[in-house]
Amino acid sequence: MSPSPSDTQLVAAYRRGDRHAFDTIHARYHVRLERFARQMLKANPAVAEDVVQEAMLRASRALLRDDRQIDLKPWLYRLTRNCALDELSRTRTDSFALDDDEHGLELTGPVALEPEEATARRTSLRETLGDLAALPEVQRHALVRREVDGLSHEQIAAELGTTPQASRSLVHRARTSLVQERDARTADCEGVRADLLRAHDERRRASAASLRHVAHCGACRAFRRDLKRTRQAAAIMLPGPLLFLGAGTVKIGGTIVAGKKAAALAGIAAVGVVGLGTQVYGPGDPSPVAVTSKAVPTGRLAQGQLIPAGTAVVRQEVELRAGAVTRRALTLTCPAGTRVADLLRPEGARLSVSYAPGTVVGRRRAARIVFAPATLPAPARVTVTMLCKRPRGGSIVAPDQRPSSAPTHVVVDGDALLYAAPGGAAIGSLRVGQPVTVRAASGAWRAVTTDTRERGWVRAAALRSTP
Amino acid sequence: MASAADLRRAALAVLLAISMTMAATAPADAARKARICASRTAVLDSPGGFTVGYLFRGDRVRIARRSANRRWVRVTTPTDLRGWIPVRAFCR
Repeated sequence: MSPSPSDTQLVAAYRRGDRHAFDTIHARYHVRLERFARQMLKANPAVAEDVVQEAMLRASRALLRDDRQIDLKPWLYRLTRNCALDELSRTRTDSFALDDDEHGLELTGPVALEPEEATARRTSLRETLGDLAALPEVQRHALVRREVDGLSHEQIAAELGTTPQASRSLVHRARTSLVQERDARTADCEGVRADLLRAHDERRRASAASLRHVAHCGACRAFRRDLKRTRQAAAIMLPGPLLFLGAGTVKIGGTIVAGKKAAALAGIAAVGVVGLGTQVYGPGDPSPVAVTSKAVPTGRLAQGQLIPAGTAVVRQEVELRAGAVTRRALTLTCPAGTRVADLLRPEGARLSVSYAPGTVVGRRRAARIVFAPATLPAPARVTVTMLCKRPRGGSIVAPDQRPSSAPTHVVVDGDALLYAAPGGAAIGSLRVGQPVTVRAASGAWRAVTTDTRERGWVRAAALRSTP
Repeated sequence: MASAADLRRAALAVLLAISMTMAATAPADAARKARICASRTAVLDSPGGFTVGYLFRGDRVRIARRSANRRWVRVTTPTDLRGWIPVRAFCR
């Protein structure tokens, strides 16, 4: 029986192109790494497997990046620890209360603190972790490696595949962002509200510092909301023709009305729905809601985190009139150049809602949104939120969420299903215009990988090759 | 020459045969209705895809098919949208 190859031999084989060598590395270490990750992620051990998968993915890429000598075992443990730290920083503020002593979070140190001081330190830690979680992934990684691991910029640059100067810049930007977030939190509410009032009066966006503060301060958020409502309420008093002034359109109850005055006309034209104003958040704005979507980098965007380039969040608050109405609908429109992505979690009344059949994700700029038939004893308010994304290469999926292979075909059949095997059971659906990569062919069937990394078989007739 | 009654009988036999064939090949879950028991569940355009709707406890959906791994169900929602929801969203 031949002895099993050493780690060094496996790394060398993998770098020579032997894909099975990495399978062996995975088989050798993944159980141990999962155990290690579970220990770190005591608050949420269920994600340990995902963390190790992420670490293995990074390892597989990093090993091929250069030929530097690597002591595989400790290196894999470090990668896993960093991924676990990323996961912790991303989820800690949501996953448990830091004030809860049951989780064994000791902040008092060797000298016991006064209760007020301990509470303040817990609050500060919670806020800092929240800020850290809100940083772009690459900045967070660079900062954690520099601050926690004490790595040099040359080492960080090697990990990230960039230059030492870029690593310095990433760490600098991350530190600056953390300081700005802290400043925004502690900013004087009166000063922020004065800036909001000035911006509102001049019909421009408030300063980035004020918006950062608004993302953290519920009272100032309510103040900003009230300002918008005041303007919408005032619009009702305007004579009819002026209601059609403004940029952008909102379609309610089958009637197209103009931008910010939409609410006023909606009250006249609505079929069971009254629009109370549309808000559009673009790149650089703090996200008004948490987003989980393949369209955003890392698949997640925390509430308050800055919206990345090519992405927008469109929100509309609507009032559903009392009584039995079978078809309540409204249309939301994405900013120019972007396309409809996910429908985000509705807030307010618990009424099922969806895109109308015919609204195809990734294809259209406008989405028709339909509420399920229901009898409402009293008017109910719901805030509907939609994610928009600028397509790249025909896909609205964020680059880091896509497969590495370039798409070769596009789906042309709106009812196409993805099958486990030719003629077998279905495992998913495909949408018109979705880019896919054909991996193999068998008669009238094609093995594909979709832009959302789903793999399966599809009828060849449902595909068209991309030019 | 076949009489009108014979033609009617033949046509009925053909229709019966077609309907029996369709019944035999239809998926077991086809057209079945089911109720959502999860507090809230997202409707996806495909498992692992984009969110296209939301359902709440008590909503009734028509089941079209189950996925190969039995973890996902393709449904038609009360808003006539077709999408996928996880099996765990249903009442057991």
